[in-house]
Amino acid sequence: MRGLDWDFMLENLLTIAKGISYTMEIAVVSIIFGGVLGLVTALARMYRTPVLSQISSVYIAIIRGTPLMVQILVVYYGIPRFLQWVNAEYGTNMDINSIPAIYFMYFCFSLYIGSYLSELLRGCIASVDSGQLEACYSIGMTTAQGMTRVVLPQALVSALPNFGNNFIGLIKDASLAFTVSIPEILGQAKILAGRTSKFLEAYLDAAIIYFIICFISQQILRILEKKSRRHER
Amino acid sequence: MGNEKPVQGTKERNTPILSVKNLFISFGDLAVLNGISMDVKKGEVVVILGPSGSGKTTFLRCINFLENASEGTIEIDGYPVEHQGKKKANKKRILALRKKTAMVFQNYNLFRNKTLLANVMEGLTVVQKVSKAEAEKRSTEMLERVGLGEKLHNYPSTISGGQQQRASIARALVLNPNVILFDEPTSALDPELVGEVLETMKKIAVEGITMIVVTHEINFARSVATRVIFMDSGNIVEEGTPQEVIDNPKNERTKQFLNIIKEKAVLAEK
Ligand SMILES: Nc1ncnc2c1ncn2[C@@H]1O[C@H](COP(=O)(O)OP(=O)(O)O)[C@@H](O)[C@H]1O
Ligand SMILES: [Mg+2]
Repeated sequence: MRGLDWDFMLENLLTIAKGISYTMEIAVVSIIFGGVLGLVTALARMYRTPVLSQISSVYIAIIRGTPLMVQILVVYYGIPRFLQWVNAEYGTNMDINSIPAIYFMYFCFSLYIGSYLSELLRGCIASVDSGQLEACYSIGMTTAQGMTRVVLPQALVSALPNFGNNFIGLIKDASLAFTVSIPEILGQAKILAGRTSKFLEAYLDAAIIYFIICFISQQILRILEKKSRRHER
Repeated sequence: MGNEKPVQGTKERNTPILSVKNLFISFGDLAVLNGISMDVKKGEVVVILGPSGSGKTTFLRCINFLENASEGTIEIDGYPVEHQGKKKANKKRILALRKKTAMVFQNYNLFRNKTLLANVMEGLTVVQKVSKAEAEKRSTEMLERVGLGEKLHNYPSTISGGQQQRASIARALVLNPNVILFDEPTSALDPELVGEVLETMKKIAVEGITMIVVTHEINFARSVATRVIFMDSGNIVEEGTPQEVIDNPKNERTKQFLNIIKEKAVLAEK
């Protein structure tokens, strides 16, 4: 393309790639904590656990009913305020400024993805044939044993493709973290663009890097999925 | 068999291993079991016949509390547990009772995420806390006994329905339960696979395992059952030896039902 500074793009690809670690950290940490959160809330709602199931429903409704961008901003400005209040109210002495901003992002993205994984897991657990748990009961297993040894492993296998999609989604959504100055991929591109005024080049570099890590992640997930399904149908 | 001396008067012979008392259950307005009682002695093979919807499955499921009846007591090997409807009976007692029974389901319900060997080992290691090595040895032997020695490491989805059902019989049998409940174990199978499952069941019946079998297989009932029960609309309508119930039924409904079943059996043979 005319006027595109190819040399600049090539030289700075690595500069922007420095953001990969932040992006992947957000995605990996959130999918793990979000997965646990999703599982706990899914089970709470399926078994109608008092209090926990109501909290879960409200949590999911709130997260699903608001944009991620807004959640990020509310968490980023809200948590320090909340901690200030706790300090004042309970005489504690937490050093709010020493908390790295990335922790707020772990928190926010875990809550965010957890609500979607909760719905996903609930569906996958419900779709495991009820005869499987009955067979567990018939040989004297408890509900907890049957769930952990038979039902959940099957539910997780059927959830895996969607887990993968959610993970890829997280990698891309993590770009929103640049708004609160996290130097992830898009953040790096923005810094570079601001410094050199080569906006298009910097953002194209970011696009290339996003594409590569999404592509690689997709391939890894595909292999995982195949492995987990080797005995299914 | 002829040279075996009958053991008379011992406690074992006279007290039932399984005793069902006065079982009532309804789903909404539909009364499904209307006060069923039954005693089964050790080593008996009880075949339950009856039209679809008469409550046979529900009856078996109440025995191991997969279904909660509104009234009734299940006693196995001297351990009684009372049904208390929606309130649900004592969890610990239900669990203890379930360890005394095993069930073979119409559609096998093998654990899909486990190999046949793991399926059979599961109850031994998780419920009976048998060591892994011991469980593996006993499970392998059991699978060999039902003719699946070659398929130990297969997953259920890779074998035929007949093989799956035989594996599920092994899973039940390995636990050495006081009684095994069979719910139409051959009715989900292609006709050519029914024989192998019935053969397996005959083999274990001869070994003196106490069994309650819901089935439409008249010939199996004739040759294996020590007692046949005919159920209709949630009641035991007629009961007796195979000769009495199958060949000389007294009740009109039993006669009607058997005529239909026998016709089907004749058609199937052609
Ligand atoms: N969980 C349930 N909820 C509502 N109705 C049921 C349930 N289980 C069984 N039934 C009804 O109870 C009756 C007896 O069913 P079942 O025990 O399966 O009969 P069978 O095994 O003799 O065919 C049927 O009318 C069936 O529709
Ligand atoms: Mg039935």
